[in-house]
Amino acid sequence: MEAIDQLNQLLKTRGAELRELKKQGKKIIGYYPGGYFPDELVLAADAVPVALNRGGDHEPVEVSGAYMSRWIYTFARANIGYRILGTEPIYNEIDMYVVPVTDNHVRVVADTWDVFTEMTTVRYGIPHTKHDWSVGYVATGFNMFKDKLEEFTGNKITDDKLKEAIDLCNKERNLLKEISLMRKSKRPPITTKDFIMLNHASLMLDKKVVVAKLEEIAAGLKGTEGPEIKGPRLMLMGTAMAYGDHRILDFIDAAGGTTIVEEFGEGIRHYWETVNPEGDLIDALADRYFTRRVPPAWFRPGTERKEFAVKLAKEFEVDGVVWYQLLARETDDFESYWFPDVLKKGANVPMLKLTSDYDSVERGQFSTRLETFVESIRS
Amino acid sequence: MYYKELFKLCNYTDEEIEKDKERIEKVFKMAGIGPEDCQRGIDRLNKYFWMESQGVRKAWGIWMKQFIDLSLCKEEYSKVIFYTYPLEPRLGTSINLAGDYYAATPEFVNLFILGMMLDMAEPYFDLAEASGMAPGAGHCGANKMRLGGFLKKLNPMPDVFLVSSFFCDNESKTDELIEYHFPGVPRIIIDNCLDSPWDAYPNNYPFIEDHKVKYFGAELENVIRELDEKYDIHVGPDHMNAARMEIGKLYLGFQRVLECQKADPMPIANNNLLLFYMMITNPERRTMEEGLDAINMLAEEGEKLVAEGRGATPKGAPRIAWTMPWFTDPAINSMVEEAGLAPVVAPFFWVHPKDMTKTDYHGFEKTAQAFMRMGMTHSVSGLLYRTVEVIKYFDLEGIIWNGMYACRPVGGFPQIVKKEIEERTGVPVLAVETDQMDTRDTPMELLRTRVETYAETLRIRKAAAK
Repeated sequence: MEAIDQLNQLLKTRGAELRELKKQGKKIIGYYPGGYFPDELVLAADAVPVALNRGGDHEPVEVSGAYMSRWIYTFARANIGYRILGTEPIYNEIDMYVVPVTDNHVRVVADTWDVFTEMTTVRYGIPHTKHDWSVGYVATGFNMFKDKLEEFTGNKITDDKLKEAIDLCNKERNLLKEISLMRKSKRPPITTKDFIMLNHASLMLDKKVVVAKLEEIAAGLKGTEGPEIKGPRLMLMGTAMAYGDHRILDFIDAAGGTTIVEEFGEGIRHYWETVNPEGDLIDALADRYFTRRVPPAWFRPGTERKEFAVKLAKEFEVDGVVWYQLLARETDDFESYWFPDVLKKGANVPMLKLTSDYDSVERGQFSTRLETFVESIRS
Repeated sequence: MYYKELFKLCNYTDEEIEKDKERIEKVFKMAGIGPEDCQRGIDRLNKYFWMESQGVRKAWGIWMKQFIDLSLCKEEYSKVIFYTYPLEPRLGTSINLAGDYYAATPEFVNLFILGMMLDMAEPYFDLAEASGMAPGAGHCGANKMRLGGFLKKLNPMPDVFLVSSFFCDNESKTDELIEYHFPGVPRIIIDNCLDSPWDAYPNNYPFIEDHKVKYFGAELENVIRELDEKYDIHVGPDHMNAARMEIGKLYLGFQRVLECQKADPMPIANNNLLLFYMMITNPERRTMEEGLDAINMLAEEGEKLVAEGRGATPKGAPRIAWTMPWFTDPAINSMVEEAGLAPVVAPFFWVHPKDMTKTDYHGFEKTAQAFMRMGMTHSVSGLLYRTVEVIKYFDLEGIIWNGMYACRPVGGFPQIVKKEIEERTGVPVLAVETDQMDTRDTPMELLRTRVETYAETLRIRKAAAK
């Protein structure tokens, strides 16, 4: 489909586009894509939000060894690596780096940028549990970020502008959801690899362009069917699905499986809920981004994610789950221990665990294990 | 009584041993501690610790009593509460002060007795690794011991867990794993966010951002409320106040010991200090009863050594901070001194004079602020600030940053520590990747090579500076 190809192409030229926007006086606000960054505030400040969401390459991971411990997880290590290498233009075009601090891995990302680059990070914390007062803490963080944005851009974030931005972001979420749900079909009209690309486009490209293209794509896909699925339908879930980290999807395909749906803590926009733009708008953002967002593995306890994964597995009628975690993110490693049980009891599906450090040496064992997994489901 | 000599070395009297005979034998049977193990313990204590010191012997006695209590607590107390390290220490202490309750951190008690003293910790790590804490995934050794203690049925299940969610991610997920293996024990999560801007701590200290104080204060208050409403465990404001006083006495008492460490030669070897570091930051019932006496004894003994000009290392040995001593292998801690270095202090346990600055906060918020003032519990920049202050205060010539690799809140950023400390102080930093809990992950001879080379560098620097 042409619109999908166009978005794919735009992702490749986003760095150059940002450079042009900077020349026009726009402020580029980079952020760590853990799912707790309200694009709405940046759009309302007439600035440009862009996720630093690149992954899948081993070189930046290796380079990071001079800046942080190798026991910080792969996606976080790659984050500083891309900046140091300078090979990913977006990482060097940003004017501000916002890191919503979720756990100690992500905190180290912010610290490393503060110490080893000229960029000063902006941070706010995401509580690890949903006590009554936790949402207030999130709202305080969002308000502090709002003040910072206003000061940095010189633009006032009014309620009208914020409502407009919320409306645009809600549209994007609804469109992603609409397209995502099409994959419930016996013959999904869009592959998960393409859907993940659309999701990444929503994190990195101009919001208005993405929404227009998503409308086009949703309309084009409606009522259509894709090719017949021959192998098992699989759910891919885990730590982070970064832009560029698509090898795992290719390996699943090559092994004879089909990825039907994904569930990741980071690198993917969580599109299942929209912002309810009533009352205090910061509270409304906190409600959507914190209270109603199904949290990743670093949350405690991880009850919501268990229920959500089982729901997805059932509704998308998957035959198995591939758990794709990144090295040294220990909270995912913990969850990988009980999730086979959770999925077996809740959705009667098996799980295969793979751990990646974005290293090419993983290819052989991933392929072998995926082939065996697919074969075991078939039999 | 195959264990009698060991217990006497730990400052038990004959009467105490006789009185506790049944309890000791019951627990030693559960833990599989036999005569050979006791002899190994005696040998290790005599080899690696200052057993002529009454303070050190008393400290070992406290740890041993806590070990015995821990396994029997369910039979001996009306309610048992286990918490993970670090708990806000005033919280655990206030629970212990409030009634017939037993609040403790099992993993450190186990690490000291089964690891440090008896060299019997590995089966606990092995079991945890086979039960959800995979080797090679960077799981914390203390948390492996926590899980292993339950799986081996050495430690009973408590009535409620207090989950430290304000510093470390591994701890709270370990408690979730424990819930998976042993369902049904309730947990109260105590959260905080380590999200301050890079310059917040040094700019604000001794004050802490108000929204952080309020959030952590609300979390602490929630613990007491839930204990009261859901679990019939009643802790009042008086207990919290009393706990503040008691902890204050321990911390300040221990600073008297650390003052001795400013002397050259360094009077007290670091293995001995470790017993007290963990006591003051993790005070349990026996520490409340006897800890201050042990501290005062050690302080007097330390002061005597200083007056006599005697030390655990030669005069002129380069003075360093050894950031975190080993909990399971005293040989590694001793190796630093054998290399000719004087590891005078672990920076996290020194009280900065400004920590005492008066505050307008009250109750739980006052406690929250006190906790975050410690620096490390606030931010990486807080930790660095405090480390620089320690370097100045103790006139240090080097730091071995052995930040435990599986401890992301402390070990995730050795490169930042090295760069910042060296730039701010000119003191060279040796950053090594280690695991203080699980010695299987730290080949000692590899470490020795690096420490000896570093020691030589410091000696050359010192000679060149003269």
